[in-house]
Amino acid sequence: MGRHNKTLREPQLHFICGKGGVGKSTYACALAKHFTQKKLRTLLVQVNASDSHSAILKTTFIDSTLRQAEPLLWVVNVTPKDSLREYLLLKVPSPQLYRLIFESPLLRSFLKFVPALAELNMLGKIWYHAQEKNEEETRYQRIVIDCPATGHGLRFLSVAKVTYEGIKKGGIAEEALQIASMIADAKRSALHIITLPEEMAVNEALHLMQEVQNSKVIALYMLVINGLSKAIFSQASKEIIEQITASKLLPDFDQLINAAQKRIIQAEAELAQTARMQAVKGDKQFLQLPRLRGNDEAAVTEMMLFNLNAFA
Amino acid sequence: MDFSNALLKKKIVICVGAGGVGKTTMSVAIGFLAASLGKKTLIMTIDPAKRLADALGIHVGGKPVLFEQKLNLEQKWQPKAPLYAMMLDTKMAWRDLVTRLSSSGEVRESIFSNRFYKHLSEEMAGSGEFVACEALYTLASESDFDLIVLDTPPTAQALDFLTAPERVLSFLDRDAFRLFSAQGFSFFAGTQRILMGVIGKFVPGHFLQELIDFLNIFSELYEPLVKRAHSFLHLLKSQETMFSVVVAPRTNAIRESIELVQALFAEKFAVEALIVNQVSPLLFFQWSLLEQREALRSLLFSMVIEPQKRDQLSSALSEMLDEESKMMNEEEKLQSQLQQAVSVPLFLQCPKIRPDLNLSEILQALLPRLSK
Repeated sequence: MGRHNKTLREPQLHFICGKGGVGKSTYACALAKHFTQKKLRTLLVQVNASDSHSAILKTTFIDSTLRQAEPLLWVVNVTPKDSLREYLLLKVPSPQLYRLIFESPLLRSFLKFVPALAELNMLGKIWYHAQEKNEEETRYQRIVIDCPATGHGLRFLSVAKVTYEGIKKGGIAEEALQIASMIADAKRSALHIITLPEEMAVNEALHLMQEVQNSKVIALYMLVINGLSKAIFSQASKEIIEQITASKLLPDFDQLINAAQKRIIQAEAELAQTARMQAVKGDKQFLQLPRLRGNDEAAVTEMMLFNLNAFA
Repeated sequence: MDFSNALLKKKIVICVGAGGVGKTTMSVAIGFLAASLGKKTLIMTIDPAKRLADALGIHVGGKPVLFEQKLNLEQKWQPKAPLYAMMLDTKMAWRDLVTRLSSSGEVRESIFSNRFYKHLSEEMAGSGEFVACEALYTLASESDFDLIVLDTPPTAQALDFLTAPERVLSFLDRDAFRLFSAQGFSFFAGTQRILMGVIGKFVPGHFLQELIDFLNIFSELYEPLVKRAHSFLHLLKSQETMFSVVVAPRTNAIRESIELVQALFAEKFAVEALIVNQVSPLLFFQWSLLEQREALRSLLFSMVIEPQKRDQLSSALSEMLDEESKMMNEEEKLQSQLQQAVSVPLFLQCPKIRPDLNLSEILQALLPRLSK
């Protein structure tokens, strides 16, 4: 019963943010799978990405055509071009006029200058899918969005709010306001920030959290620290290793002992970085995931999913 | 031909690669290697970790700072020529560029206060790379460094670096200027007017007006900017410049760097070194795993330790060796994938650096690997 309640209270939209290379896509796929295992109809969205989800999920290439990958899982790669076409088709009554607009070099130039509009369109498409119904029922109970790793923090998620505040009047401003409200509503949208236990990555995550707090663009839901190495050495073992190092007993062992030392110091540094995140997490959920390495991304995702299920 | 020899022939080294592969540390190491070979060197970083910035004595937006600290290094690796480092502030670099190119203070101020300038200089993908290349070009032509090492900004995707100049230039596209600018408006045919009507329906007039204003003011900078972009692209493709692609032995990073190297070659940039960084330390062991285990056992038995603690340590070390060797196998597979996919003159491997090492220790670990 308790779990069921939690599922009901959980937001529908889950935005995953983080730097490139921290395991963002793997986490997004694992989270989507996690929802499908809870029997929830789930849509997994890539945002104008060079498709990495198909390799992780072992499906065929994922493009801008939304399709069903598994009984409860739908996938799509949202692109500015297709989002804009769909948007214009909704707005412009005549196909001739639409073609005139869409194929005009002026529109292309215009979009180049106002790329925020392209991003707004992509958010608009996500917003559209969030509203979609199928025979009175919400079509997608969960939507997981693998946000672009722009290095510009919340830029993508802020686009709707910034657009509304920038132009205030007109059709686009109204739509932007609706999208911004959906993202800002903690009951509907959740932000997951994922990072690695490394100084630069944690700096960036803390910076992002600060931005979230100041801008109130979206509510922080979950902090994820990924890639923690396993603690192998006990305190007693650490002491012996130090003893060997200090005594310079057998120089031939330098490399082995060095490797062990490296592991110990690595683990300590990871703990220190985890503590930095822990210190600011407040009442948010904090998920710690072990380092998973391997060429088989599907297997890595399975392992991450296992950890995620155990957590939830 | 080794990396040191290659460095001696160059005036510019550009480190490219995905985020999180240790590009900045590698740029610093390359700079020190060049200085140890007697080249007057400048290391240009964009976003170094605080420890590294402190160790180099640099801060944001600064000018090149002479590195004067004593390093605890073998004589062989000590700098033999002046070594400078700086941290580039891309926002400031854009301001400098606009200031240099604009005809009057009035023009400059109206550019700075326009919201589209903010987009161009801060948010647009590729603008950081563009202005970094531009700053590199200025320094290369106006200073007397023998070598400049450029650490490129962290990009979402390593390929962004390549498309940066093109993106910025197409953002400032001539045709767009004509289409939007006041003079251009009179040429609009009926269809374009309809389109303006449609855009105007969604976006209020003042927004569009601001964009048109921006294009009008910026148009006087367009020619010189394009000229400079062509000059720095020319410099980047010249014999004097070498690209070093830095990569970590992880699935995504390897995949991305294959694409990057192919794209660099396609654009006729000289990729001369592929540096696989953060490699498992096991790879650098001189002994086999079996020998390691044997040696380990005899070491532990030669020490006066409680048997229980000895067993504990022994099994922990075994576990580490197992894990590391598994990792090394994965890494080797990835590295051979990389070598099969692209052929680059120099292939180097550097170990993962412990996070607590100081600058001297980092250099002591990396320089012998780089000069191999």
